Amino acid sequence: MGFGDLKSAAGLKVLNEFLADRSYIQGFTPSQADVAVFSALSGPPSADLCHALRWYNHIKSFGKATASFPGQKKDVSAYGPAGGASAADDDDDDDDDIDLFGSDEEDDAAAAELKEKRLAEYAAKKAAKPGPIAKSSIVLDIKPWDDETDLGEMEKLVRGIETDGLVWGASKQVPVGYGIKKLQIMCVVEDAKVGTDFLEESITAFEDFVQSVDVVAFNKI
Amino acid sequence: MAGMKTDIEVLAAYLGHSSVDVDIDDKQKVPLLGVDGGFKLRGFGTICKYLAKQAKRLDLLGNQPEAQAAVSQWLEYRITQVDRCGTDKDKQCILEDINRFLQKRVYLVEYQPTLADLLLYYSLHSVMTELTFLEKQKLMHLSRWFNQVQHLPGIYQTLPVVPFQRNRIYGHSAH
Repeated sequence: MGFGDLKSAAGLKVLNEFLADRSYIQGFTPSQADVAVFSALSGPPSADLCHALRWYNHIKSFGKATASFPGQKKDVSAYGPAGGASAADDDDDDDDDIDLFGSDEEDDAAAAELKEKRLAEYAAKKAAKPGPIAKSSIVLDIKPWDDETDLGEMEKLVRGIETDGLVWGASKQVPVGYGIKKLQIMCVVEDAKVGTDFLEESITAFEDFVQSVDVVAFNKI
Repeated sequence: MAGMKTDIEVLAAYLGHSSVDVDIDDKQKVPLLGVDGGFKLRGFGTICKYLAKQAKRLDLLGNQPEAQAAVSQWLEYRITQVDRCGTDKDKQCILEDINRFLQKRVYLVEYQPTLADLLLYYSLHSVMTELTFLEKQKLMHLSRWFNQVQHLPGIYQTLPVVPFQRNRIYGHSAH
């Protein structure tokens, strides 16, 4: 595989990455491998490719002595990640290939297509499934006209209000004063479907019994 | 202290000296080397440089005055900072300092291995053996330099090789 085109930015990036934990292209001493790659570069790498620049300055410092480096000069494409696994190399490059969690190259187009299809199916299933429904618990205070109003009747009427997303809960009668009691009743509503204005309107429709309605508590569940 | 003595002996073996007479002056914690003529050399840096010159390895000392001064500076750094640092936090500071220094360099001084590289390698060997792979990957330049020095011919057999591996599990967020 090699570095790619070393005169391009992409190739230089590969070289930089390769040299991050290496001092020389091959092994631990300067060799003809370094000379080959050095001559393939058109100039010093930029400062942000710090590993490549470090290596470049180091090889440059040898000057003419580079001709006497050991080894045999091969084509540049023989060096670099996966390409440098040639003959006399030590366990350096094996480290590169141990990619415990990485996925293998998707050479197979059919496999890639299958994967796409499965992804699309999963996404569609997810979208179709309703998410968690937002619910709230509301406590209402319903006040009668006077102490002679029949609260039991009132409660029956209120519980008669039925709509999608509304579930009536417990109720109790709370004395207010002067013998008058108010009805406190709980309900659980789905936020998207039922709101407090609907509840207030429908309850105050029972004009004979209900003087007013108040929301005491509104808690998200 | 014991570190200094063993390091001098290992260095002497690397340089090819058959035997050296090294002692530690207990009162001042300074190594002493017995030389021909009967008198004793004091001081870690002095002894190391003397051994290198005796073995005619002048390349290890640096070619120009600036390089030679830099080598001496590293030897001093090793004695005063590295060997004396106690807490883990200090150690981490030192490792990070050296790591930053090595970003642009293959070897500590100029472009070839010198006494500075060798002695810092001996000194840091025990520390590096204990680092986890993630820490080694974070101190990327230090690891690269260490891996380079430990594979130099002659050094390779003396101390156990510390393994380095670039592990893609950690990815780029690790640096």
